[in-house]
Amino acid sequence: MAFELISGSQAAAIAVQRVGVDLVSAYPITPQTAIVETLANFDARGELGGDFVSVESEYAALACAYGAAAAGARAFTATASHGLAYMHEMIHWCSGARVPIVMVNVNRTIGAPWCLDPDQGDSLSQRDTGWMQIYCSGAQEVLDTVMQAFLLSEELLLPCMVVFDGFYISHTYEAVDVPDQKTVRDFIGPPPFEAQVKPGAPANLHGLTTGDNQIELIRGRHEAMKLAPQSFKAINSRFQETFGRSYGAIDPVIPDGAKTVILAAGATAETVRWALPKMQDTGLLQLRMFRPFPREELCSALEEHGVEKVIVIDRNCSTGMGGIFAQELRSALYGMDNQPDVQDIILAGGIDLTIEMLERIVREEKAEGHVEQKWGVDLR
Amino acid sequence: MLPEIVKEQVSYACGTEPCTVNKTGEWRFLTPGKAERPSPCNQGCLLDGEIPAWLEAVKLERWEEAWQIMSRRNPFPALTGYVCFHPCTENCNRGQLDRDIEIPAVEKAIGQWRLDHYKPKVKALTAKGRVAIVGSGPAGMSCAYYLNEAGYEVTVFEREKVIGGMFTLGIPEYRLPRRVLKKELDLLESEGIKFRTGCNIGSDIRLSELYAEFDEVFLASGAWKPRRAGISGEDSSGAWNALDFLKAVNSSSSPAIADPVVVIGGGNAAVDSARSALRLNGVNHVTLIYRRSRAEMPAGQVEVEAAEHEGVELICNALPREIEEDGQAVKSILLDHCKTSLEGLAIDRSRAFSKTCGTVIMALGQERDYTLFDTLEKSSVLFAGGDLISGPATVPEAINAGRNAAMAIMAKIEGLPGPGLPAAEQSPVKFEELNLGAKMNLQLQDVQADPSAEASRCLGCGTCNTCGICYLFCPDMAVDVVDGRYEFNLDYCKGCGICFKECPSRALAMEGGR
Repeated sequence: MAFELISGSQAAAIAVQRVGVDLVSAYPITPQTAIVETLANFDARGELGGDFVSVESEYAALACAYGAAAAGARAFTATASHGLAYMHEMIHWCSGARVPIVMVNVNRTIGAPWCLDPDQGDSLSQRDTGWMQIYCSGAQEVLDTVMQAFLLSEELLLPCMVVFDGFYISHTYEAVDVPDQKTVRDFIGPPPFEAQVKPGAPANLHGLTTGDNQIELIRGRHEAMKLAPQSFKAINSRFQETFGRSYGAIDPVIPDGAKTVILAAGATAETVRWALPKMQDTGLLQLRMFRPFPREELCSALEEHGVEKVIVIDRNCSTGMGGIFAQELRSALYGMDNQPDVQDIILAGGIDLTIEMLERIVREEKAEGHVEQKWGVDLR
Repeated sequence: MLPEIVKEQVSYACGTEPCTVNKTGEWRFLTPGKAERPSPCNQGCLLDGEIPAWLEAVKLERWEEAWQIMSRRNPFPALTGYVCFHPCTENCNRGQLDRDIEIPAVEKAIGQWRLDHYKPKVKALTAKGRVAIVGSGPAGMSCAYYLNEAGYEVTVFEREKVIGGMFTLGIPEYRLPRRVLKKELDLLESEGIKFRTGCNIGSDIRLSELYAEFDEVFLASGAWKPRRAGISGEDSSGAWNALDFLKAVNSSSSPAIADPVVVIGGGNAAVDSARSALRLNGVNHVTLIYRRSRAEMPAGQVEVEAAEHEGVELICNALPREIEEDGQAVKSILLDHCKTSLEGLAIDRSRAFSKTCGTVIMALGQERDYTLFDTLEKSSVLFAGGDLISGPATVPEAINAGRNAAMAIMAKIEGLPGPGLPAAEQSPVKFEELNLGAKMNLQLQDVQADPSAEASRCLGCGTCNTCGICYLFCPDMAVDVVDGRYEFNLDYCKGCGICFKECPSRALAMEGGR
């Protein structure tokens, strides 16, 4: 084991370098900049292995990665917030075109007004674009998940977004076990997919079709994405053998007898993990995979422990409805026997979740019973 | 490993199949199509030889196809590659970029391919008709070739002992290698054309006998009658007419002529005579004398320059008055100064001068000899062509005349429409019109030694040269690749016109409606 003190951004960049990509095309944006910087440094030292393409915008960054992936290259890009929003059209296009691209999105609030705090609304607003989304709670997870994302994406031929919180993860330095390049390359192997278009053999791809065809293509993507939890499990069991760590689509930490569980994705899950010893009869359900939504895994974990209450930490808000993870969870639980009650804690704007706040949330929940929604600012 | 289901999904999703259902061609209100326009080379060509088309075939190394295109208009590229003056090369658009396309070299290469690869066809048992051709020169050979190809039985009558007419006896070896000519003539014989040499129509066989024996007769006996100067000494020994001289040189009899040599005339026969004379043993000095200015010389410029380069002395604005004899031999020639004026040639006798010489070769032009027709008894449609009809002209013009005659004879015998009138002349594509910016791999290049490499320099002015820009630019699936070439698939063409706009060669047009 070789532990290094690195930030979440560096962890993402190092993972990309270790995997060995053919192309990185990215445009810097706070709080993702350190990823691009680190990759650019690798490139400057001749250690990147692939091409580093400087582009004029996030749209171009993903368009470039799309072109490369269509030509059979392993491609990576990273962005955040407005950058991700700017890519929106290409985000849809990449999944429709079935190219395996890995993109890191570092959560940051979308304006107006300008704001740098880590609201998850940027990535969650790309929920329906056909990309897989995995949320990470720390630098080690970032490093490992970026590596795994290439395998997952290339196996299902669907692009994959690896998401983590700005600053709390991107700029925080942690001790991370950084594997050596050979071990990673041996584990990952060369890309298994074929180029859709080859130099010297130009092709017209993805021209106009009809709804009758499009529905089949959409069903194909949907069916492929439903294979993701199972593929992810297989990838992680191999990963465990090589690296001694593994992750699930969800990672539950539920003590015996705990009837209340806190569901969190990203950095807040790590806060909950730290607070657990202080809170009696309370568990953690870390949601890692958001798309596809791991409905079966969630339901069976809740059923197994007879959970009665799920408190959802939503560092986001779908205006007019509430926290997005809470909505997804309610929808997933619908029709389940002994369906747990769901409470939604909204930390929109990317506000911090403190251990004190968590203790108060749990305490109040026990006293008050069913309250559908609470705003983080009221809980300080 | 890709799961099977994913493999299937992706092969479908990333193919063109989902898009084929949508026949967007129905949206179209403008339709693209190939609308080829003349190139400057083709416009210069005396045979309308589809030059960019065969250059294109050579570029693709499709030699059989290149030969097929070439032979539609010119069955003897191996010969014309040498002897044609190639007006095609005069306005080549490529020259404005770097260097003109070396069209003659590619033409020769196609000719050589034909000489090397020809295999006689199995002929039909019954000929479509029997045709006699009088004269085995360029016109007669061309007519014979096309009729023979079309399944006619062809007999060519030649008054000389050798076949080939002007090719064999008029054009000097340095302009047309005899090994190439021999191979071409041998090929015609092996293809089944019958030649009867030493047979003079009129004296040996009467023309009416030919008409009795054959379905049709094509007269192409050329213009071999020398024009006389009408000056004294013209018949002395040492005075030649150019065609007799060239005939003697080309029959390898190497005539003994006395030095120095004076050639009178400014046409190709004069230059050929001068250059041929200079090559003979014992000849050290040749002077070419022309009555008008150098700029008015009808001979090909290249030929005149070559003659000067080889050492032929050129005197312009001089008209022979008299060939002076010493006993029976030519001693000198007396010349008057003259120049072109509005009233014609203005002769200034006060500025006469004499030029010492042992030989005078008169190349004052040839005349058509109609004595052949004296024996004609049948009043009927008469097929005749080449120099016999046009007067002295060029090899490509004679080849064209022979081809037209063949088409007309076939039309008459088979009851088909004739060659018809030539299509209305369109303006050739100008350099400025070409959209060279779309040619992404265009590089400045010198003339290439390899014919295919040289042909690939052709910009294809007004002719599709399969650059593929339309295919690359088409935002739909409306351009297909068929057998290495590009074709419109109008099922998917919305009529956006990008192909038309981008075509580097200007070989496309948009028309209203579907």
